[in-house]
Amino acid sequence: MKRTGVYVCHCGGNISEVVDVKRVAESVGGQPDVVLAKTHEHMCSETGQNLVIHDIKEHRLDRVVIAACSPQFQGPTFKATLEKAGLSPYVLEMANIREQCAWPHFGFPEEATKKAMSLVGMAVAKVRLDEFLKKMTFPIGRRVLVIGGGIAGIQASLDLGDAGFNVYLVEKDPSIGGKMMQLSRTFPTEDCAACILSPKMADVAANRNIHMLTYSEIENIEGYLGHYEVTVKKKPTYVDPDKCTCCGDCVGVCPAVVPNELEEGLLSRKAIYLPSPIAVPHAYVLDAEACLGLLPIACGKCKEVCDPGAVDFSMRPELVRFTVDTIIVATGYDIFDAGQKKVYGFGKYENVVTALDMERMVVHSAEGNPMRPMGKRIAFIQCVGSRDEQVGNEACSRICCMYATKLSQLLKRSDPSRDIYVFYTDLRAYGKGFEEYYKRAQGDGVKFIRGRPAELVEDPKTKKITLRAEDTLSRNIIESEFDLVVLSVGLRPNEGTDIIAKLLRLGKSPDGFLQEAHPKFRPVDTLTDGVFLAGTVQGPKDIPDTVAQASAASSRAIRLMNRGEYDVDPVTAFVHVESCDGCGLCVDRCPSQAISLVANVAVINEALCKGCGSCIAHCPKDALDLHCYTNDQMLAQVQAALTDKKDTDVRTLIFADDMTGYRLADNVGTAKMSYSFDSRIIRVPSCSRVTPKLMLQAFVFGADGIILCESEKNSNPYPHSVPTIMSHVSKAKDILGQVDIEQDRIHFVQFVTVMLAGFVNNINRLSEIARSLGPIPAGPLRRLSQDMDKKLFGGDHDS
Amino acid sequence: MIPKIVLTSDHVDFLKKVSELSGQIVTKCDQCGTCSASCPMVDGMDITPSQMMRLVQLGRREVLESKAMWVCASCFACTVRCPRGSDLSKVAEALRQILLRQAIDHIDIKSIPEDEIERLPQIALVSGCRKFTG
Amino acid sequence: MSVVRTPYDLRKIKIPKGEVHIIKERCKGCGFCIEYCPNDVLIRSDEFNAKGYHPPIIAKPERCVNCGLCQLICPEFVIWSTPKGEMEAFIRN
Repeated sequence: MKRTGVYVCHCGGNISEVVDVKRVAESVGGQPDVVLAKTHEHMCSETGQNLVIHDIKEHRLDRVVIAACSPQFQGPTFKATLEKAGLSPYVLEMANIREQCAWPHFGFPEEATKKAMSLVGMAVAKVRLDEFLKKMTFPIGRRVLVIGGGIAGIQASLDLGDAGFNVYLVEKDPSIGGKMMQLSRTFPTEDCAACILSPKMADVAANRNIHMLTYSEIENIEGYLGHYEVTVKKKPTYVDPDKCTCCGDCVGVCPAVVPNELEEGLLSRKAIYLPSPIAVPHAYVLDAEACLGLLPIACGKCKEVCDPGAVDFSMRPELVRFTVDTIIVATGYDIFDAGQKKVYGFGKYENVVTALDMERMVVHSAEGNPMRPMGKRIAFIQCVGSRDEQVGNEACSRICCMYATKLSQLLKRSDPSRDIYVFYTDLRAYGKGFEEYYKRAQGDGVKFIRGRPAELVEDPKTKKITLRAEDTLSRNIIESEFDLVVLSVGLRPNEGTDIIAKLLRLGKSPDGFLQEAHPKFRPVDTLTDGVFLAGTVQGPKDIPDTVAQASAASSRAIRLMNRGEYDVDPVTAFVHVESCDGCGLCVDRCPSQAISLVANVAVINEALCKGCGSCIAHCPKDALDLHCYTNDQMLAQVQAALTDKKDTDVRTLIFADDMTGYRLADNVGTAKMSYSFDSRIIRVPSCSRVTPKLMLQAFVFGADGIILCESEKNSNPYPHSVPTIMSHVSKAKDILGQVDIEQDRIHFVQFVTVMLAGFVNNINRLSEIARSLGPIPAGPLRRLSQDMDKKLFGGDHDS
Repeated sequence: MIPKIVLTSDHVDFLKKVSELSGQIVTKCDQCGTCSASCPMVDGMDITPSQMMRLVQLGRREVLESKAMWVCASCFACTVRCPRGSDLSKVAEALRQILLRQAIDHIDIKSIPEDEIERLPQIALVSGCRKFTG
Repeated sequence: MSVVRTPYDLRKIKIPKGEVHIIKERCKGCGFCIEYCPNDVLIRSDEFNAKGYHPPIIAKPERCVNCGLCQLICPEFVIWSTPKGEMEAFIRN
């Protein structure tokens, strides 16, 4: 006889303010295997957890239901609680009565209470069938791939290298250093960017645990945590870095000239060049596209004059392959393409430049080699490409207010006779020392005007720029001429990030940057195990925050790798051997090739099985099953969800996948967005677990509508789930059609975790459809339940 | 004289009315001033376009006394450039509509002496009757 | 970047300048020099030489940088360049 303990949490009022927790506890107390049903103010607190431990021992409980917040939130906490009491952590079920009940239905206490009772009933039905499973443990090595050699990648590599881990640092440019290498000074301390970066770059080169692959791009990454197979294409530099003495003789004779990327195209370089004065690796590089030609060798003068014989035209692109255990993505950003903001005339007017251009100009002026005259009257325009729906970027780029404050001060102090204006909308000086730095700029005589300029006009003769803005603080219209206008361009995600995101199936936030696993508690994790984010690839930020994030990402990676093994929940497929007839249909259907036939019985390779559940639908004998989400458990939850349904009620079932659907439902509740309470959410690892048979059985038991909510294809950890689900849905709809049940009762929607309104709309729409279609009449239901297996598997086993 | 205002619930009513009429979320204007800087007619206005939005946000009915929305040429430069995606021309139209719906005659045709009517071009009489801009 | 700009220092940079010489009468019109010249200095002409072939003509002499590929690649050894000092740099597109 099973002995279940049920605990209903007040959650400090979060739940109890809406749901009558005592009634909920009482409602489940009558069931035969429920030994006790209690309420508590804070189940996750130490007293709450100790209560559970005590009860397990005192009342010999062998399974536990906790009705509280989302299992994705405190699930790990309570699993650990059961372990402390000596019980398997897998005989725990959580009824999500906070994010998926009290919060979204906060204005409706009676309905919320009834729904909570139903959700607890579903959890009790599921826990009854839980197995005493153990965690699965897999070995993991000490190899890390860091993609991107800017300050974020550099910091992460150093932290990992110093900690004794093996790092492959892949950078697409010929030198590491990234955008920080292009900056003049850094705010608010005015440290010279190159001076503080250079020693770190040198440390990377000197660190024996860091293997740098520069001028290299990621061709492919396959695999999973502990076993990522990486292919890198290393471009030839045509210069042997061990022989090159950086004498520069080659530059003198090279006849090919191109814009210099380091200088934002404002200065030139030759085809053979040193990427930067502080370049690491410190060697010249021959840019094959700028060169007059290498196949055949058109000119070859650089090789002729190279004394050490470092120039080597025989170098070819190399494919480098290696395996790593974890990955850190630090591919950085691009500045907003100011040419898109046509009203500012960037690219047309010679006296309009970007802030990054200005950084280079300041660097050269400070060295005594000004690039061009800057004039006396300089204007900065803030929020170019940010906070601007007209260019498709609503977000604030965070650092522009501060870098403009910095550049304006540097320009003012190097020539106090200059007249410098900063045209802003808000001045965001949020960080340590920032407000004081802004005050200093104001004190230095930089003039700040609160108004966003509408357009710039060039005087055709003098080439000076006239700017028009409203001073919103005094309500005057300003129209003035300037010698130079600097556009404070925002930060945007770059192309390289897109490629990596697709390879690793990483989701993007609405602003286009890569999405973190949880904005508050997991800011450097991604939803892909073993892949972490560092730096501006996750969103605009300044250097201190980038460095902090890089160290955080390294620490998360070390956390996974340090013990030499990591734990995974045992959500794997298994075979009911007595039912398996060795037909072998499942073998080809497993996307991870985890099934094989041994002695005419299907066998699952647990190390390969990803727990998606796609195989289950293909077995005509119901021999395949999934631990933690067994066929019996799925059916039990469905029945429990429908058992209290009155004839006048409408009840819809929402199957939500772990990665996105369930998380999204939690986000909707957290945002207190309301949706129809006729729905019941059932959690699945992936909706490919939802077999056509389960859907049809749900209708037989009284469901009026079913919706499958799944991660959209590009960010789905199970790449084959979307087509699999589509075919399951199509099959189920087919059979519904055969027995005259409306096919519109089944919906399948792909989501990303930020589609809150989309989730609400789809749930409500399904409820409306179910209500307007009315309950399914008895006749079609009877026909549906007759010979269901024949309808599903009769004839072609194909799907 | 610097006016002192007390924010009452009346301000919410005026704001709601303008929002409803114009279909715009007036409160999302962050007063950046792009509209004023884009406006070709701003030199002839007594308050700037963004100031007009501000007064509406605060629910100050005095905005109806200004002439700015009548000087508006409906060129849509403000709409096209607004970084928050607001359609300012619709807000200006909403204010015009509120005034027009009051159906106040600014010109009393009957009280104009006949010899003046003879001197006036016809179009002045017609526009004086139509637009109530008197 | 959607905008391409001329570097400020372009005029100050000097690159080698070359002068192209062609023995037109010996040319057999293979077109290799025209095809392979990295700076598009040569184009096919309509004039004939005595053998009936179309030798190349120097369309853009200001772009010759004395790289010597035409000299290297000509099967008949009829084209070569000689150094002619330096000139202002230009960006090859």
